[in-house]
Amino acid sequence: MAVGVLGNAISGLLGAQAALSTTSHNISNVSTDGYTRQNVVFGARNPVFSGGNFFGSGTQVDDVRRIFDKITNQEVINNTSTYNQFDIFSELAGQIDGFLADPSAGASPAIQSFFDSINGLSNDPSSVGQREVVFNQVQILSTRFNNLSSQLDAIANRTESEIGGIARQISTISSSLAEMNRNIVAVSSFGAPNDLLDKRDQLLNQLSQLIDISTFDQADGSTSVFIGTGQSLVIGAQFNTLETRPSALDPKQSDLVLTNGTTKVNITSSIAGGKLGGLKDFRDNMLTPTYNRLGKVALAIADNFNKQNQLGMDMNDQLGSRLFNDINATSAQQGRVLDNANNTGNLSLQVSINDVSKLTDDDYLLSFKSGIYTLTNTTTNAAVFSFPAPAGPLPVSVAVPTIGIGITVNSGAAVDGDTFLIRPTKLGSSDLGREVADLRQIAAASPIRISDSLGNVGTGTVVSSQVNDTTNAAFTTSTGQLSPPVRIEFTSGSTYNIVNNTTNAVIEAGLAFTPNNQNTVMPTGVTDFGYNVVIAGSPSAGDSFVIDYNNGGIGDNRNASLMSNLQTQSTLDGGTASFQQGYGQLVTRVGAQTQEANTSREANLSALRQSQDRRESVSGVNLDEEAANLIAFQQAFQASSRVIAVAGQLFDTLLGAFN
Amino acid sequence: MRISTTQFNTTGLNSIKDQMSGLLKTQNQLATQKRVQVPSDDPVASAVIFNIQQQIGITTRLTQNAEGVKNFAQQEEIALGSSTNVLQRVRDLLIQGGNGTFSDSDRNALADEVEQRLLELQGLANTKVNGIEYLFSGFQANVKPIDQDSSGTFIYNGDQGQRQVQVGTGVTVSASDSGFDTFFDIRNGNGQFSTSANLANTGNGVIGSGSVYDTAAYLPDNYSIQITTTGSQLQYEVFDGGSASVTGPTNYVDGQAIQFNGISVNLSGTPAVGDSFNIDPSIRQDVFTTVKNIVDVLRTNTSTPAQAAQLQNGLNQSLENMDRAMDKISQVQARVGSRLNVLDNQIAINTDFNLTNTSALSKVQDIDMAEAISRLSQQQFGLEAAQQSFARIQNLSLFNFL
Repeated sequence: MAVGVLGNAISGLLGAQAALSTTSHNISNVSTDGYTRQNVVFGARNPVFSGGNFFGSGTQVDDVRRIFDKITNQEVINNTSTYNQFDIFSELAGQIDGFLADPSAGASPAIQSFFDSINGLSNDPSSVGQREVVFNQVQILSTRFNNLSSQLDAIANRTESEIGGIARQISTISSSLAEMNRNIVAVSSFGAPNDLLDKRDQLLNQLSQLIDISTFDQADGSTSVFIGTGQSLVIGAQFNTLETRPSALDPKQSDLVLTNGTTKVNITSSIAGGKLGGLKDFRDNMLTPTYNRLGKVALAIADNFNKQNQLGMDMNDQLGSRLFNDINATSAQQGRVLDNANNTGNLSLQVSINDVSKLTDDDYLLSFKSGIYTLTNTTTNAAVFSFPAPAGPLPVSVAVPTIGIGITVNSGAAVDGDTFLIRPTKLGSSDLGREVADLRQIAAASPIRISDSLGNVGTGTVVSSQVNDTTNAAFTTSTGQLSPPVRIEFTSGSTYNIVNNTTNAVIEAGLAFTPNNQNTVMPTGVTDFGYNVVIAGSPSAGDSFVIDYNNGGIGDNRNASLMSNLQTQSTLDGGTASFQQGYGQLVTRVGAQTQEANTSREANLSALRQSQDRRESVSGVNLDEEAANLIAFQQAFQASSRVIAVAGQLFDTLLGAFN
Repeated sequence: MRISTTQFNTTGLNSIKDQMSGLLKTQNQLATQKRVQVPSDDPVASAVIFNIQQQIGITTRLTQNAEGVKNFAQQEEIALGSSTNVLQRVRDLLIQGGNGTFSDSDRNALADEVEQRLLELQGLANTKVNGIEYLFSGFQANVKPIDQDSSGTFIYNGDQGQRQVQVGTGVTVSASDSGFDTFFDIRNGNGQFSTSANLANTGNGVIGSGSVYDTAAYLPDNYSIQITTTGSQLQYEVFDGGSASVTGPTNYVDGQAIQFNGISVNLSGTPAVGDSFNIDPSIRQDVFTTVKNIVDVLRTNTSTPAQAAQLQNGLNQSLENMDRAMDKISQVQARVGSRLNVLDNQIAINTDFNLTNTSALSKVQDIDMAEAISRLSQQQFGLEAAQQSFARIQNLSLFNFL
């Protein structure tokens, strides 16, 4: 009997020791990240049959168990991934959000100052001081747009370098996971290696911060990890690495490539979740549209002002030239096209902007197949236009009127499968610059002057005039004068001739005039002089109006007023938004996207915290509980020790009986 | 529910961190007085803020425009007012010239003054705004608008440009009036036709300025009234520009109106047979020529009754022309006056509009101080509570009792 008592006591002693050891392990790991509390599972040893009865033979440690809930842990992993995705998006978006609307860095105050200067000029067109202000504002506005574009560039660079860094981190974790799997599989046959499992779970958690993962537990104890749409990252002790390489379409953007030895698979499009998913989402859905919309506003400003200045006359009595850089300069046109690095053909393209009001915020992919070019919107993936490969001598220009661009095939030919990325607006804001070289070249005046002849008897008066095209021969034949100067000569109260004022040769005869109505004197169908004049009232036969070049008209503000009016004109988005509204929409859109990301970030943070709480609640160490266990196991130890003492005494008593 | 020790820590810390970030945001809003710091704080409000700011910018600009035009108009008003005074004086002198008791030398003295006044008028027409650009030269701001050529004819060197400036949403005003419009575009005579006596007349017939009594019947042409006779009875006959007879011959009655083709004109005195009087459609005659003609008329020698009649005819014609010129200038003056009115109104409207916009902007953009301060103290209280409870709970441990 005594042997049984002693054996039982020793088993209890050992059990209590094991329990105390596990409790102390729990206590010492109270602050360890990812630690799962453990407890000892005791079981009664098999009974011994003796004298017709089964006698208990003490206790044994059945298992040291992790208190772990697989589902809760999976929730933590999923929430970690989603939270991190929104966290990084909201952080980067917050930067754009901050500087776009900033009073000193945003474009809106610069646009306002620019228009203020134009307005000052239209109030006082002969003032050199006002011209100086406009001249400087053209530069300031350009610089502001360039700066915004560089700030976006800086954010884009940071995004790309973070994508690279995260890809490397993922690769490191995937190799650690494979190693961990190997270790776990090696010892699994002896029981669950709790602390190794904790470490593996910890690695999975780290991985889920970077990317969305799905896991599958194998029978041998290893865990396989999949990313994207089921691409394997880790299978047992095997792992793949994630690498970045410059995208074939846009070398400034990186593609993500899953690499296994020499096998490389581009999985960029299937990346989701985690910081990597957040960065990709930010790059595609925020950065690119912001670039494009900013560029579109810049292009619209440059184009509208260039055109208006070209319709005017400057302080040197010359026709106006461009204020800003030409939006269709060859370098700008070439910059809008990126050839796919994998193209096998030698086609060379460039893209012109034909109508700024039709421009969109999107990029387009031009692909060639079986003699047909197809243009696809990369945002909606909808085909917007197609045209056959041009026959005949190159270059050939093909207009895409719905989106306001023209594609020029310069030389060479495409091969089936060749693609080209067309970004009509992306570089608009970095390309903006001042072209006008001298403040006297700002064209505040209209190039034509209409005089009501002194001898006129009737009541005909000039109501208005507009200049439509200064490339017309009337303006270009010789500088500083109209070719020919024109006289509107009334042959009766209701008919007039258009006469060359120098030679008196009749250019158009017998045109009809409606007295006391507004009459456009150069109606459709007659010779186009590039300008037009409206005469009202009731002229008499013999009355005439002379139209001449506006030499010396430095007090004329007609063209400056037209420039000033551009501020409120809807020049963008198919004629629905002014420059400032277009920019405002950009700011609001970025603001809304940022707010949405912030809200999602907050929502997912609380979801994450809740799931972490649940996990902690199940698996975390509670020191009070451990303290109680410590007492309980200490008592068990003491009790077992006592039983050994009793057994000893029993033995002594027995030995004493023989003395 | 089972709570782990780390949960105590993280939950406590998280709530302290949350309270702090809320506090920081409120503190930031209070420091800048703005509720919307970045567009993402409230994208809807930031769109509204954007629009209002643009509106304020534009309206401020339009008000500046209005002030600029007002300055211009005030200077123009002064120049026109002075011109009217000069013309009024010339008109007075002209009427004095008709005084029968005045001798030729008296009238010569009047003519001397009119000559001086003409120079003064020319100076006014060549006024510069702010001493920089000419007021009345249209777009040719650097060109002296009124000059006399070698033959003494007055010429206008400017153009007919009129600067248009936007001063309100959809409101554009003319910022200037050209010298052509103000001083040159003046119809002579009564505005529709002018009357004159043939310089070779030997009688003392005086023709009035006449008027159009029937607009519908009025037919502009170069008419001539010829004096004939049948027996001892003086008669008149009216011919048109093509020498075709329009009316008459009709017996002449001193002072009776002669009417034809919608025209009514008075002929008085005793014209001689062969005398003729002309009725021509009005043409443009600048005010300077009108004044210069007055000088010539006043210098007329009146030794014979025919010459006296010639003086009278000249005075009549000049008075008509003077009145047309003064009408024209007061018309421009009225235009400038109403322009100033419009500008004052528009400036008031713009100011109101900006006030409304500014307060709307403040409502959308600025914080409610009372609300923000009470929020701040609430958050402060929350933070303190979180800190204190955290510190207290941290102290609770069974190990303290072992």
